[in-house]
Amino acid sequence: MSTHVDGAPPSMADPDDDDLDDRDLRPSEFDDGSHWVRAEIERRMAANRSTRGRHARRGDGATGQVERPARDAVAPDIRHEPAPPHPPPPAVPLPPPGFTAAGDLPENYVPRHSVQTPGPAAEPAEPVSGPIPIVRPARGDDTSGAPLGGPSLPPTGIPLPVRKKRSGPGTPLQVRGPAAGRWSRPSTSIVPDDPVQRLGAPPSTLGAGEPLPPWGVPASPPWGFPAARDARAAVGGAEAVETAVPDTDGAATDGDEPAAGNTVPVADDVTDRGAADRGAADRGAPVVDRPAAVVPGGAASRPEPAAVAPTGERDLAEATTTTLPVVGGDASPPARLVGIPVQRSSPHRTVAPRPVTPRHIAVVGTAPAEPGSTRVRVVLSERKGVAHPVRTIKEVQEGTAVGDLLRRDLIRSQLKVTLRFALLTVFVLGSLPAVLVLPEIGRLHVLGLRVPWLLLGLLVYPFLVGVAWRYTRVSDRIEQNFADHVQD
Amino acid sequence: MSTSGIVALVAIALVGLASGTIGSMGVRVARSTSDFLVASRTVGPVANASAISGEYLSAASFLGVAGMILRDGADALWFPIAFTTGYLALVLFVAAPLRRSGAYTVPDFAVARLNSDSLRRLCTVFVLIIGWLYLLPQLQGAGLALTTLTALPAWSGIAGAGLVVVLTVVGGGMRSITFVQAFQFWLKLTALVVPAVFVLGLFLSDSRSLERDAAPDFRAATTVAVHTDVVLQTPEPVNLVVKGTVDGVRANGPQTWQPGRYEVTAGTELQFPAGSPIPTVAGSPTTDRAWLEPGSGDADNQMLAIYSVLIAGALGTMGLPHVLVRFYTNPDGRAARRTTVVVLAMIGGFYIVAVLVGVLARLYTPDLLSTGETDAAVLLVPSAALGQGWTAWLLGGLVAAGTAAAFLSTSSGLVVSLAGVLFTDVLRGRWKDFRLAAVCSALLPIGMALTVKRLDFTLTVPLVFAVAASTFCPLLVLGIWWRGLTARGAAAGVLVGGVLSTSAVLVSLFAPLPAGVLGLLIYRPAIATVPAAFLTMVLVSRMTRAEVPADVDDVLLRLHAPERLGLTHDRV
Repeated sequence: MSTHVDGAPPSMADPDDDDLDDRDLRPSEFDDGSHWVRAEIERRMAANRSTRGRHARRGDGATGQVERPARDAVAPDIRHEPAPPHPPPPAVPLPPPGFTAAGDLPENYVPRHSVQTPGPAAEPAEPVSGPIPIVRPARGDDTSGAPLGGPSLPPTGIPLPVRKKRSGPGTPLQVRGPAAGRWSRPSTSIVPDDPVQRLGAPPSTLGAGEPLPPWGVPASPPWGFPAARDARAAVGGAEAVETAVPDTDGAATDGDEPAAGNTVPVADDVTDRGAADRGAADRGAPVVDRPAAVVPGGAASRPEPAAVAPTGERDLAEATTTTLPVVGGDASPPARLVGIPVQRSSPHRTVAPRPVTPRHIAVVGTAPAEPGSTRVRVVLSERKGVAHPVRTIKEVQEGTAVGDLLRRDLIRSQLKVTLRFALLTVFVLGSLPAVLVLPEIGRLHVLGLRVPWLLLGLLVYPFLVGVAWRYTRVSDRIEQNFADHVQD
Repeated sequence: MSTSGIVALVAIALVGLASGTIGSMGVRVARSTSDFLVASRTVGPVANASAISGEYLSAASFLGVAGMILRDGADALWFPIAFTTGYLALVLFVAAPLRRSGAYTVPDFAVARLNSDSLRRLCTVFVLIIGWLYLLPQLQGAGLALTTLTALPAWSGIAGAGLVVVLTVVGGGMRSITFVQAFQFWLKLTALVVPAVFVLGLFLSDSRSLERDAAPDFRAATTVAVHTDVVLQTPEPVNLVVKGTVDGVRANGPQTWQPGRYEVTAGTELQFPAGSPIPTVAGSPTTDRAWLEPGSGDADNQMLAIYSVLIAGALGTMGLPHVLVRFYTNPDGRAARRTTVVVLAMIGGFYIVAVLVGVLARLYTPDLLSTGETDAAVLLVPSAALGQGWTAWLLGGLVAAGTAAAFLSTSSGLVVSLAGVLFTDVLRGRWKDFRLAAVCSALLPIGMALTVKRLDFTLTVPLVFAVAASTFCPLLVLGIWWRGLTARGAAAGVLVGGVLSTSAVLVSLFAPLPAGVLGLLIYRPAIATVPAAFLTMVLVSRMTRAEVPADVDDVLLRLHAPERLGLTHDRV
């Protein structure tokens, strides 16, 4: 989904790069028999894409099938043991990482998100949804309603990624309607824990969870876009979200839905669910190790309209048609769960090389139960530069086949560029003595100076500086590309 | 002593004082070994570039380039180009990787890359040889400047310069040196630009031109004292009074020289009447028009010489110990590259002015042509062009200050880096020992400078560059770019290149040169010794390929990967 957006590994080649230098580089970079590398990289990227987006996943027939079983199997486990870093379910539900109540988290569970999105704001655990303080609905009414609202919030659309440039960690970065849909479920489960607090706090979460039914319909059409817009509007402030929340009839619905949803996870135990969700969310979000997994959180936040749309629709369709009424919750949860495991597995492998994806901690609050209603997704903070375990650089260091190729490729492309510039200089400087000795040229006057004096006394210096300057740019570029590629 | 001499002396003293002050201010900041050796890597690119340029632009550049231009004309334009190209090669081949290697000196690099202690010792030896060889002309340049400006004996200049250098280095270490040298770069540039502008203004309002088919002539009756044996040539008949030995014959009276060559022995005095054509040193262009054209002198194999100088300059710069140390004070590899580009621009700008001064010297101080001491051109141009008066004296003082800065900066940079090598490789102590190392590394060249006859910068500087290019250039370039290099291959290459080039230096300095291509190769050895060193290194590494270090991939990755991946670890 959204993941891809970020996903394009910078190292690869940003389509955006206008830089001339880049062009120069690109060919050279991968020229040397590194087709292999390139192929590998592309393969990985492709894999990531398919893996990361939930939707993408679903798209796959195979995956989809797998999902079901997975969910069943997984769901139970997850509830009870949110701890496993790679809990299958979380991957998809990622969005609500913030929501998960810190308290609920299983002991084992290591909140990854805390690492990933150490957003200060997030940290200050609100009672329920520790990390997502921002979201909280200020309204007293809402609080009560909030829980409901939360769930009610229909995760309508496809989450359109509305991205704010980085906002302070704590501040809500993004609000996404669509994402909510997906996430809503998990959130729903959360609701139960502390309806008031939780709901109140992260409306988004709540909304995301339960609302499924209502918006499933409305949302579907607008999927990404309308939602996104709404989201943006909503994003304006947490309040917006909140507002939305209260409206939701979904709230009530949520209550029910959660139960339904819970069934899948743990219907009765809200706590468990919450935990499970969190676990999932956390994992999803926080999972640094598996970029893919991690991405999901981020991905959720920024879905790619195109890719997502289909999938999203599917989901919606499923949700709406089959599940909408009661099942909505159920259906979706499984889906998520399923999705998660799958993603997880492939993601980390595949994902490893990923470029840096900004992670959002996205909390999805969806306000309106109405079809048109907006789902708001609040992304708490996006943090870059958080310590990730770096997979590829280790590979490179350890001399795996891929690492080896990457390293050689770096050195070779650097050497190529160096030699190119060196040869240019040698050619120019080397030919000058021979050329200038010719009397016809040696006696020529240009600008009142003899050509040899003009060239050798004056112009050759700017030439040398120009070559050097250009080289530094090209060479820096190669290095940065390498680093980008390898680092995430 | 004349007024101009006193002004010059005061100016030199001021430079010494300012350097000392800045240096000692730096001491307060220098609190750790890291500060002392690498300025804790806190020096910004421009400051660092100024320091590198200040360090690099030695007396040879400040005085020598103009002198070469004065004598050889268009052909001499290649010298400053060669010296500048060195930085291009640096940026292309070694700047960033060298910085990332964490090596403070070439021996460090050898260990980091090839993990061989014997190679390290070998490199240490050559660092010392190169450093000392390079210090020699610097110190002698100080002597020349003092003699020319104030008529004081040369030894006092050498000793004084040596003293100031040692004090500065011992006082502050790298951090203070950095600031001192940045200051000295700008002082040097000013000292060259201001007189050049004055004289240029004079020249533009002057009707004289260099486009003429005649030798430059003495504007006034002149007595030339020949301090070193020299072969003069004249394109036109010259009437003069000789007191001394010409062509092995004692003479004391008027002579008429027909066009041809004349060997003049040291100690001879030649008196020329005003307006007589000036005999020039053999091998240089004789008429002004010939001087303007490339390849017009009658020296043999000029083209070969030019290429050899280019190779020496372009590849030798990266092997100069004081240049390398500087790169380690950059915060990272990228900064190292950027710094180098700035250096390139600064040095290029400086040389453009230096060339201009050389041209002006051809007009205003042509009499230096017949003494062989063309290196004094920069010092004499202001007074020659502006006559006597405070303007000329002050400009002369400025030039003197620039000269002092030139030999102080390069010398102190060399001493710091030599001391760094002695300190880390030989003494292995704390920074008290660094001071001891500094004194040790300065004493030997001071002694040599006092006892060895001074030679032209044109000769000595390219020779030193040739040694550096034949030893460290192959080691660095192959070490950084070729994973097949082995310790034994590297050692063999360094030895072959080093021994060949060093013997060429010694022969050039102390023995008569054979004629023909062989003579040229001894005089300008780089074109032969550099390929020999590369070839040896590659071949021997090939033969010992089993000995390629196991961690070679790791090391190469560290050299080439950007710092942000966290692969590099700084030693100091």
